[in-house]
Amino acid sequence: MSARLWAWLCLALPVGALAADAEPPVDNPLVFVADPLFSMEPGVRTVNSLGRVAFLYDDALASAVDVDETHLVGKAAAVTGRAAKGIFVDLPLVVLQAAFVHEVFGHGARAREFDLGPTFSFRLSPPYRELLSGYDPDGALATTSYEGSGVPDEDMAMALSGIEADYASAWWLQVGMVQRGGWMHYRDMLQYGVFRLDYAPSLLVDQGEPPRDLASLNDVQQYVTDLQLRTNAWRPEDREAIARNLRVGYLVGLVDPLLWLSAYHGIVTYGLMGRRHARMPLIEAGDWSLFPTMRYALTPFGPEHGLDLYAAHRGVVYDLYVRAGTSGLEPSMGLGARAFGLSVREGIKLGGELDVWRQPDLMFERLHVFERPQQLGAQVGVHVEATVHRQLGLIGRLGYKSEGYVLAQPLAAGPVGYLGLSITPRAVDASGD
Amino acid sequence: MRHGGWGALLGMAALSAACDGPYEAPCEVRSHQVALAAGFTPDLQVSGEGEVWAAGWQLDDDDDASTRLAGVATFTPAGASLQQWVIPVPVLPTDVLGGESPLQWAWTGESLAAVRKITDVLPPDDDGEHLRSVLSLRSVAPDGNAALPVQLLATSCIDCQLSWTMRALAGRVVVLYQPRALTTDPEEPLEDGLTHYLIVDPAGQVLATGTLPGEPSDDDLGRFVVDPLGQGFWLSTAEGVVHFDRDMQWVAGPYAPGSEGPTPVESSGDAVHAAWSDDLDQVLQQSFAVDGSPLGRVERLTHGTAQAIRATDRGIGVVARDDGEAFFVWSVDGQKVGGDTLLPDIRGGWPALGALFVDGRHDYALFLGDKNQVDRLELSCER
Repeated sequence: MSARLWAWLCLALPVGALAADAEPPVDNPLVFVADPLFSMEPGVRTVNSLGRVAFLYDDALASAVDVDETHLVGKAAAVTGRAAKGIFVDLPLVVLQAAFVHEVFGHGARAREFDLGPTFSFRLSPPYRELLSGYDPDGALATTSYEGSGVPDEDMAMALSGIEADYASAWWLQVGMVQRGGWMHYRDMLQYGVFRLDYAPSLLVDQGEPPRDLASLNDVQQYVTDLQLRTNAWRPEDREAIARNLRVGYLVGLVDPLLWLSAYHGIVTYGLMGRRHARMPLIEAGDWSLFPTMRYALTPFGPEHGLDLYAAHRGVVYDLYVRAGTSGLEPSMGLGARAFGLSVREGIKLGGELDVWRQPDLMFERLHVFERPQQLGAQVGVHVEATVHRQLGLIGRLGYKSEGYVLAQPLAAGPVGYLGLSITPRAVDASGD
Repeated sequence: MRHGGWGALLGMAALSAACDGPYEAPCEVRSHQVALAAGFTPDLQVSGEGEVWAAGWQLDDDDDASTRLAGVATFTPAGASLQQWVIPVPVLPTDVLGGESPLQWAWTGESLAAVRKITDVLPPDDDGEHLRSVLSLRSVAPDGNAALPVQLLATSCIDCQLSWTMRALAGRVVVLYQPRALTTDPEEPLEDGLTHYLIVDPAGQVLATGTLPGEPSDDDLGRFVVDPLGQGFWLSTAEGVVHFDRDMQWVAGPYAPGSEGPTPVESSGDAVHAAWSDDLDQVLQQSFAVDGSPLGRVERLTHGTAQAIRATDRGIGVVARDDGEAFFVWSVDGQKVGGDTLLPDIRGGWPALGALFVDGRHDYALFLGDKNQVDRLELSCER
């Protein structure tokens, strides 16, 4: 295994480039799901699918425009065209998608969960904002407004929920990549990069200076401030330590092979070579395909790092993970597993999930308890995908969780789940030339 | 599958063994007397002679602009009602300059002492017209009979701003006043700017005058309260909170420099305990030696506005208000224990109205000034 891993690490990029010559499988089903609260996970999945629908324009464009890239002039024109398309069409689409997920199903989902009555405002995506809009002192692309509750755990959950939704979106893109045997559309690579790097400029700079204007903090500044108050690490030197930990932890969290492979394939395989699909290198072990990666998340207890091991075997995708708090403020840890696509009969696939965690008690009253008792929690659930008619299917999830923090899940104890439709796309031309 | 299931169970068991029990609140409200007095939002203080006084402007629905109604209620520390009055107080809607005529009053135990500022226009001289300001005290009996106003001539000043605050303790009224130049030209030296005091009897007879230690200041007079143990007074200054005895002689301080808003302080023999809020509305607490040196570090207790503090052999109790609710916070040896305890059924009110700790049957007993009513609660705490 170690030799395979070494080979995987050393040959990742060339293997990926070579693999692009193979034929990609049909894209994953589009999923449109909802629950009564329009909460985070169904929102993330649905908007990810809507983002794919928006990119159907590219299929039509690829069919309509045929540039001979075997000659230098044709290659230069095609690369220039893809770059321009990337700047003026693809990037604005993905940024808008990310902003929508971040606000409406990140902050918004948590605000709906806490009954805080969120409202949203959006501005033009770059580069159109810079080109077409006048001076706007508010640098944010989008904002969520809500009634503050004054409950520290709710304030904290609200602060981190936008980035949480970004990372949940990235997690589902990882699942989709493994489901397709490592194949990704350039659109997914772009989405993955935007989701994973949201707020990177704030996470990579020193947040140790106490903010002067508490009314206009961005998510990261608010997160550091709330973390200080929640854990009573309120002194200036505490903030400096939290900020230092956050920055180093985020840098470590960028050890994410899919992020860098996406950047490579987005620029080289798509931008220069013109191939719209690329295959990420998976570790092959017998019938199994494996993809290990690092997990990073902001949680109510401070940043957590973890490891995900994705495995695909005969159409079934598994994810095993462990996570642990690395802030040094409060201990937290968790582990879990998810599985999708276990075919039980014609047209019906099942999945399941189990998460177990030990973390500081969440409190939804204004208590200001600084030293929390550690609590054990769990979440268990099943997934169902049923084909109804040809490409159309029903998809659902039903589970139950105890009180606690799990990525993109409600914080309180209770049933979790959603129901909706799935649409399996037809096969598309892989090369897109 | 079977192995995975057992593994998961074992993992959960191992995790469970390392977990704590559920959170338990350290303090519990043992008794709550609601609306001991009603109809006014009270200011609370001890009388200095074994009583608790609650006083404030009463809800006033009549159209008589010449009087306002003052509500006064007195209690034993145990919460037994002694007397309740609604007293009409003569007021002047405007002063000679047409502005709102400020009026402050204090219950003295037998009557109400109302003090307002009078401004006269003096005959013009070579420099033009001049304004003379002076404080005037009027004693109002519980039945509404008002004595003739008595000018407190020591407070008189020419072309000045005159700010004042007052408290009554043990049958005497203490008026702090600060004359300052009418203009705010920074080139001009402060016209006085010192804080003076005047101790009078309830009828306005001057018993003592003097000047408080400190530098001239252009700041308004700080919060002036009766010591919760009835030993004297606490005055908030730019340097911190200063303790004075009943004769307005300096005792100790300043403590807790840099505090903003109310800074409840209590002296318990060899230590002084203070709680306050910073500019982020964090409630902070620190204890000091009598000489002002800090005992330990500043500790953060909660969010909101500090209202009252009491140090006992069980620890330090603090009442804080936050977003219209009131909370009790308990700390022992400089460490907050558990979380805040909600003091139930509080309906808001201006934070400065505060709370007052007294002695009771349980660990902490307090009167609480609620919107238009006075409550009394007792709490017990257990680590």
